[in-house]
Amino acid sequence: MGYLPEERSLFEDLTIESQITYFAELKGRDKNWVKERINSWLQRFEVKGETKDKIKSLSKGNQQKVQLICTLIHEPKLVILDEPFSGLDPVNADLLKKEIIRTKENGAAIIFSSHDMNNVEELCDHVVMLRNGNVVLNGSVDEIRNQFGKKHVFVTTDMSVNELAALDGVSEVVDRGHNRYKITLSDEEYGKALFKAVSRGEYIEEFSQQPPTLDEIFREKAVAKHA
Amino acid sequence: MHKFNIVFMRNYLLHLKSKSFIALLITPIISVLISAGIGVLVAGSTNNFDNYQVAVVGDSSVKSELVSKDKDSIDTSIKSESTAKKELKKDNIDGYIKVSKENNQYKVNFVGSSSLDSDVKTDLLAIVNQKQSEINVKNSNVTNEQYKQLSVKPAFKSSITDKEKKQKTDQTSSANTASIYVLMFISYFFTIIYASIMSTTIAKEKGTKISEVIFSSVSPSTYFSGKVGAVIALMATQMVIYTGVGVVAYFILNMDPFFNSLFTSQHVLISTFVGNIFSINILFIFIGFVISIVLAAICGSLSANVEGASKSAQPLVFLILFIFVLSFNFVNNGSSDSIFSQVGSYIPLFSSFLMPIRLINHNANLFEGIISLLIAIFFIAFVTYKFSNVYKLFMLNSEEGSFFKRIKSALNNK
Repeated sequence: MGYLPEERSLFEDLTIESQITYFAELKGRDKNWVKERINSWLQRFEVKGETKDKIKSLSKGNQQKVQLICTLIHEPKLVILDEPFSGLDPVNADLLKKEIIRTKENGAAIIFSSHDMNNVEELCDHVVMLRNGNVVLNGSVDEIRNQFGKKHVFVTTDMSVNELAALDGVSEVVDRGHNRYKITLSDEEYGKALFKAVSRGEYIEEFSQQPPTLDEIFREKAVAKHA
Repeated sequence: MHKFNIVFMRNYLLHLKSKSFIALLITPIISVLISAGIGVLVAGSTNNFDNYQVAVVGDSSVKSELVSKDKDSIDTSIKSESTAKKELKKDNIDGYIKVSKENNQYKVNFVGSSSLDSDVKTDLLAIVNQKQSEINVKNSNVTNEQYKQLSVKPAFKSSITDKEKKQKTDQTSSANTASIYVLMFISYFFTIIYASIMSTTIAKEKGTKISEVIFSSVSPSTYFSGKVGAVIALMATQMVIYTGVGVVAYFILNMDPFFNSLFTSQHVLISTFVGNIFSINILFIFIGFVISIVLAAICGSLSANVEGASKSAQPLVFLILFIFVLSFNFVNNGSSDSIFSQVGSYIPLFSSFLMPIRLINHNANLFEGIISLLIAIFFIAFVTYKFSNVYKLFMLNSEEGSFFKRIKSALNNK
């Protein structure tokens, strides 16, 4: 198993090599087996530092990367990641995403907790949302999104906000600028009528009817929590 | 066992290579060397001060005999009184002896900045008396037979067997007292030091997520045993190094004539001292260390947070201080066989201080010592087993508040 807690959990007085080797040995890997792989992992994560550098000499971002290497290097079949992207800039976050996907493709089961729904939507096959210890959402990303109906329509049209708001089934119109709008329907069934009204049988640049994003669902559930 | 070895070796080597351990190891050695150096310097300066030198002028036969007896105290380069006066004025000599003979009488005159050294004086008077007697005999016209009769001296016989016995008893008693104090101080200081190392090591991981990561890889009891074992091995390493240094120092010093004669004259004291230390008593010291380390680990795991690491051993330090003061009082009051001392010598940790005192003073026999030792070993096994089972709860518990509140909170999470 590989476990990555949200907070830093490294021995600051150890070198990068001894830290990674120690944790991997505790996971059952042979010291030489680990040593053969350390450099390639450090390169893959673009860690700024030598294997003999002490952990405390590294920046927080690099410490986070070393911690990720400690979590994954022994090739665990179960990985638990608690807020793995915290403290990482977008470039390093992409490196981690690649590694998570690689680990998943190698057959590992990954349990990954996050408050960033974009990352969840991008990486997860199955989502469980907990509120006060109770499961409030459970299913694949598509299943969960579809539970909330395809009530969101992204459209580009010459019509004004008022004209759009006057159409049947439209409960909210948000102007996204440059004739682009996000329309919320009271029921997804109004989608076809809206398409006809907006396109008038002619070419239309954009019309996309979608369920709410996980981020929106999270907000909705969080509002329900606080209500 | 494999994971125990990994935890054990990692922690042992980490401590062994740490600057703090190297400082801990060499500081006492440097202190001893500095003390010895100061001693040698003081002895050297004292020797210079004691380098008593006088000149002898006048009668050459007296001078040559005196030189043969007190060569170190006689400056033979000075031949005349005038030179002697000059050298005395310059403070190059402590004085001069002028020996002359007038009218068949030897006359001795000493001039000096301080009184004549008693050894030189005794030898000088013996020589002069002998020579004066010879003159007196010659002038009295007595025969050789009469002279022999006049020279008969009282018989004096000295038997030093009892003195030797007393000296031996005195040396044994001094060795016993010295070994009791040495054992007590070793116990006290090393127990405090290693208890602090242990509790700080554990407490530093408290409140961080390292424990969570570790416990996802290795069982808490194995991890705990490995960490405690590493500190015990570290302490054993230090003891072995000191023993080795002591043995090497003994053999090196023994090559020096001064120390060789010192070791020979103090043979009883040294052998008794070493015998008292390297006996069952050292097992008590070792077991005392182990108990302290285990208890210190518990204290460390009950630290409120990582910031409280340095203070985490305080409850144990106070307990050890109490036992030390108590033992000290028992020794000073000569009450090492009081009922309190007797009972205490069977209570783990107390026994590490009190039982060696009772054994050295012959207040307890070896059998009693072994019983006390077995109780202490059982205690260690029991506490280690029990604690390793709740170690995880203590380490993962983030409750703040009083010491006892933290214990209660941790155990409630079971």
